[in-house]
Amino acid sequence: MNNLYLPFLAEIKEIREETPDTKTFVISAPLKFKPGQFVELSVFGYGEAPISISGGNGECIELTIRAVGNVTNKIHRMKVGDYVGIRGPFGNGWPIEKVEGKNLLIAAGGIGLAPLKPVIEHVCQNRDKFKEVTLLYGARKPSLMLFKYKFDEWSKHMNLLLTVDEPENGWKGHVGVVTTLCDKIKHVSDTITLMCGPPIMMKYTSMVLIELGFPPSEIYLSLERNMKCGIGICGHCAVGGVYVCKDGPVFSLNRAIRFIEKPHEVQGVLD
Amino acid sequence: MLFNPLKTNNEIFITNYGINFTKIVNSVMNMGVKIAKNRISEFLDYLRRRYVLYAPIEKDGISKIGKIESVSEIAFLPYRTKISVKPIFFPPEEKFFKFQKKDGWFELEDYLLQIDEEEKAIFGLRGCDVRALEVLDRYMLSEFQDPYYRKRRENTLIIGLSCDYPRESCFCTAFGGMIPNRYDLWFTDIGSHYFVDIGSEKGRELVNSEFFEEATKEDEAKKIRKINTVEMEINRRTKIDLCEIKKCAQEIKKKANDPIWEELGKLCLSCGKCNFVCPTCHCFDVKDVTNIDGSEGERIRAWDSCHLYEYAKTSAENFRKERKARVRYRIYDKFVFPVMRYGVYACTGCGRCNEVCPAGINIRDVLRRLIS
Repeated sequence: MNNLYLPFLAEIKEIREETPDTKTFVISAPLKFKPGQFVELSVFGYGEAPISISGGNGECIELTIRAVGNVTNKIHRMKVGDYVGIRGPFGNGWPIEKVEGKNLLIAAGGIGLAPLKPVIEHVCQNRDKFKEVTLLYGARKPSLMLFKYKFDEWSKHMNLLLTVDEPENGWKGHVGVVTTLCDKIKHVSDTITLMCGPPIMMKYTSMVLIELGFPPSEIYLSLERNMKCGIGICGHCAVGGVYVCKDGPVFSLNRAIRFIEKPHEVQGVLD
Repeated sequence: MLFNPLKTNNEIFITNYGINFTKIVNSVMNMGVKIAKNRISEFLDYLRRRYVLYAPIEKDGISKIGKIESVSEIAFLPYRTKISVKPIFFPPEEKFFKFQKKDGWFELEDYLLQIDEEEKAIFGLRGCDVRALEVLDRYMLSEFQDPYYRKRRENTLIIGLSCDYPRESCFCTAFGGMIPNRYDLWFTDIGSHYFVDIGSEKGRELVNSEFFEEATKEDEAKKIRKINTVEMEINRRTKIDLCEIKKCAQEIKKKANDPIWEELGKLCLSCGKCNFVCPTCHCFDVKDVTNIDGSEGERIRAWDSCHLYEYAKTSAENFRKERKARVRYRIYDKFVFPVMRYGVYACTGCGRCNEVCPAGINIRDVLRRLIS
């Protein structure tokens, strides 16, 4: 019998420092994954945490991790050559096949760029399959922006709109929350939006996009929950009758709309 | 028997999880059998020799389902046990695997392999617990299967027993009465004998043993009278009927903004006792326990409770911060969400949560208010 709770061992091959509190770990795990899926990362002795896959090449996967909890703080103190455990991949992933032949808007806030990075890379490699592509990315400070070293390459393939909440020395770009950039998006019709970020950012960005005329059924969000099992049994990610781990984490806005407005309210998710 | 839309033809309840569970036969075809009470311990001993026998036991005033070494340990209670059957299949704490550090590498030892593959027979299970097992099967053995649960659950023979009288908190009649849809044998006390309903091929094989005799029409009439009497008594006390599943779930769904949640939120202490005694609650937390230098340890899962503040917490926010939201979530996760997902309630009317609630919240009162 296949034991879904048993992780396999994987070696940390490379560690990239992204921001003061975020690192990208390249882990030797030959996983086939869809962009937007996540894995359960084990640090033995500390526990498990669900982490989105932020890249991979068939032999390794990349996990971009912010140090916020028990497991994530520990992995930040680990070094190349150390072993972690991996289970997965879990979840449904982004509906990329729906975007092909259409315009694409990618909206990310903070660490929310990590699960969208595989999508961006897919777009860069298959640029002719998509029409207009815009990446909207906001962070609190310029120093907290992820994957800055990729921006030049990405901007060759798509329209990059960046913003920060608090400018630091040297920042010449836009200042303000992500919603203040929304009116710069040139394509509204025939556009699929993929969004990930803090709940408050997703809520307000969704509201502005709807006002601009984006249909809610064409906006997809990736939600964060503290999944303990990843397979819809432990109950921690359950909201309104759906399991974010196996039915999600990507939902269309018309399915998720009300629980973003009132995250703690049950009423929101009953559609 | 009281008219009950939940009790339809057995056939439609056959769900195939790819497991060798007992096959259901159409019990209408069979005239039942009976067993004399003075032969019951012989029969149980016969069972004990063929299976690993589990049955109600009572120790220090706490009744539960336990492994039986000798038939004399079995407690013949008139009603359900205090602790449900859930811990037999889904223990409060389960060790997943052991990890041991060796030169920077870890060795994992899967505890799944250590769970005995045994053929269980559970005698004396009540309708509420048998239904709860059906619900647990849906959660644990759907598209992804819980291997630890499955290994314990496979090859389990269920020999149920009708209650002689209900506990104060019982309300199984709201869900279709004392006899569930899936069982191997079902015993009902009819005086000098137990009337035995046959629910599966395996059950039929068992009643071919020497202990059973053919039942008469009168025996069956006695059984029906007995069940009706007890069920009517439960009904008289509780006056809740949730048998129209979709309609009731719809009704409760509409009450998302009812003032009842505010009131319950003020009463509830968020202790999580109701989750732990519930025979269908299956949430768990996963954590690592290590020795003092961290060189070896175990990954365990432990029961968790959706009433606890930390339950829905993520790195970004807590999705059910307010107590009223957590109270509502639990009721919805029993009466609305499982109906949307699996077409069944995740409550079987055992009433254990009423019994243990330190704040005196009675789920029957809650339901009565929600349905009315």
